[in-house]
Amino acid sequence: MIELPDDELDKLFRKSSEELDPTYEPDDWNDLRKLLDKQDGKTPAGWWRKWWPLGVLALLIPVGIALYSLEGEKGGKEDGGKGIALKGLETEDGGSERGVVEDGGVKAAGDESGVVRESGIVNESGSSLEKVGKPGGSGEEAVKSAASVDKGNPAVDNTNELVAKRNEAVRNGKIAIGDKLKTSEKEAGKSSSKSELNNAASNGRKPLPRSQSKAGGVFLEPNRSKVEGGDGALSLKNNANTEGRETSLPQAASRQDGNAGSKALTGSEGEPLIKAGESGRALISASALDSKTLKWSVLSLPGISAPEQEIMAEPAPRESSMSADDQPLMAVRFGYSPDLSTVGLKDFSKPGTSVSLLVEYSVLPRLYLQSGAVWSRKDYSASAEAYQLPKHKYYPPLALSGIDGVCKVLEIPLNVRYDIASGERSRWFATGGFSSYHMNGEKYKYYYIDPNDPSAEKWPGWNGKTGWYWLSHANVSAGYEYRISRKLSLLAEPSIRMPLKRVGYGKVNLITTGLWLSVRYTPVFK
Amino acid sequence: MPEYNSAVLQELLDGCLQKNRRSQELLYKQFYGYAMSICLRYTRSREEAKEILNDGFLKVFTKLESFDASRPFKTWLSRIMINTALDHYRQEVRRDVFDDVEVAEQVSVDETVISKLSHEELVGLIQRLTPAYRLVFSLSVIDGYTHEEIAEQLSISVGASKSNLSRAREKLREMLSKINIDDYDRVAR
Repeated sequence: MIELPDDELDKLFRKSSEELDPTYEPDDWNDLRKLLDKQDGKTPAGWWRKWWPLGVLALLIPVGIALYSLEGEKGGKEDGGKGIALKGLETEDGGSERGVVEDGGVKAAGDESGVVRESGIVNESGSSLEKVGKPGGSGEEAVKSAASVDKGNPAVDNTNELVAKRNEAVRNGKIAIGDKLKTSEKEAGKSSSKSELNNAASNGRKPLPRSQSKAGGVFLEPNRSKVEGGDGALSLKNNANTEGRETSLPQAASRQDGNAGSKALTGSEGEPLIKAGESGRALISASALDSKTLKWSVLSLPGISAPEQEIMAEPAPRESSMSADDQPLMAVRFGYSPDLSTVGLKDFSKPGTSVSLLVEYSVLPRLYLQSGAVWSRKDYSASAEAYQLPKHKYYPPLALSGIDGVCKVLEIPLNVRYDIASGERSRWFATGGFSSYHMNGEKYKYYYIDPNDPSAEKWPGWNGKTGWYWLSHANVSAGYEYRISRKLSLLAEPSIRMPLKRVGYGKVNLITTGLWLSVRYTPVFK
Repeated sequence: MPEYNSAVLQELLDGCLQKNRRSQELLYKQFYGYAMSICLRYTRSREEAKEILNDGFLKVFTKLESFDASRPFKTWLSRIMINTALDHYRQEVRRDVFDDVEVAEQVSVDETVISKLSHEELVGLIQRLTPAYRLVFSLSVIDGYTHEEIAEQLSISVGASKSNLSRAREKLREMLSKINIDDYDRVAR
């Protein structure tokens, strides 16, 4: 063993440690660079880690718009459906005092007297009448369900009042419905009105106008099924499914209803009316209404003339204001894009910013000329070999390892856009063309091979502007356009600008990529 | 003018503060040898040293705003590298991945391979020490830490630190004795 004193030994190893100078391994830097890129968000994973809220937002916005649009369309249909029923009711209100006579799922025998509602409206008064009614219906079935609806009476709880009016109508025979009811009574007897009613309904079925709620005293109310935690009122779902069933409903039910109605109407009889009034609210399912249409009897009745006009006034099914055939003549678009500029599709530095204002003019169907202005700030860095710095007399050749550039550029693109596929709301398109760059402000920072190079102090970089570079870049992009209204649409358009000539003071081949997010406004159509 | 005050270094540091990749690369290149020599004597292999080196530089680039420019950058850098190496050591201790002393002691210098001693080889001898010995020796002898500081850093007693240093020296002597004395003389000159 070497008998080396501690201090000698320490000195030996200290000297070796201090003088050790491991050779530089570029791979080590590459590894670190990957770590840095990851941390700075310059890799896709890193970018996502850093900017995921923005990414999520960018994904959610179109999804939200799409859902909103879909919901809007559905909603519109539902509204329309409701409108049919409610306006129908209202129509007959306006027509006469008699109005609609209907009950839950049972066609009113009084079809001749006016509106027949096939089903979908469940009238609790009908139920209550049913409770008090006894078999043995008569022609009074014509108004049996008295479930009714009366003009301008939004409150459904007024059933007894309505029924009272019916009573009066029936007794006096002075009101239109009464006439026919009497006929019904005479002709039909106990339950004969059923088939008659069906025939009439099938012959003269016409949808009623839409759009008025609470018309005729019908009140929309949520489902009250016990199954769903309600108080046991008839389930709307059941009734919603009764379309086409009304004609085959058990006669007993019809009779019961009829009897109930009969009792209520003919009995004078206040008690049934009061009972009916206790629960005299109509329970209407919007979905049921949607699937049902009100039918006007072919038989004309006094005071029921309005419905025909109302039918005429029925709004057509809502049509989209947009069409795939829309051919914009001119459009203006404003866009933003991150500007990823680089030399040689590598060494991406931090993204710059671009905004654009472009005008598009249709020259052929689906083909547009596009031009405007794009302002951008481009950040890029590259090795010194990628640049061609001008040689000045006073410049010694600079021993540079790399140059960073920050340039403000005004770009004038001249593109052709072609719509590859068009739908009612969406379009896929491709764009190609050329751009001219105006270098507004250029800042170059030089990095010297030897950091202690005396030139580093003298010429740390260059600032200035070099002006126009006509048709310096070729543009290619493809994108998706989503129309949020007939004139307004949103666009997402990945793009790349490839250099056709070197630009700037450093004469660099600058490649720019980005993703244009634009709003497009179409003021004029062909 | 000291290097750490040079305008060039300051410019590099400014560039690094702006996360300029070119500046970072240049700073890395400039201090690679210095930092790597520190990492090598705290690790058992170059690969491990590189891992610590890059972790250390990552800290440098991300914590650069906390650097006091009135102080030498090298000192700050070496402190970061040593701390990173100690962190690495603590992680390894937690994972219990070190060879035990006996196993490590069996490692000997291959006399047939070593024909001459160089700085690399001497540092290589330090690398052959067990982690506990290597760290105490490097911290105490080369980087000038006191036993109190070492004890605190490594969560050991001051006595253990002194003991480890003594044993580290013994091991180094043993390894040196196996190397040709002429080579030793050449390096020691």
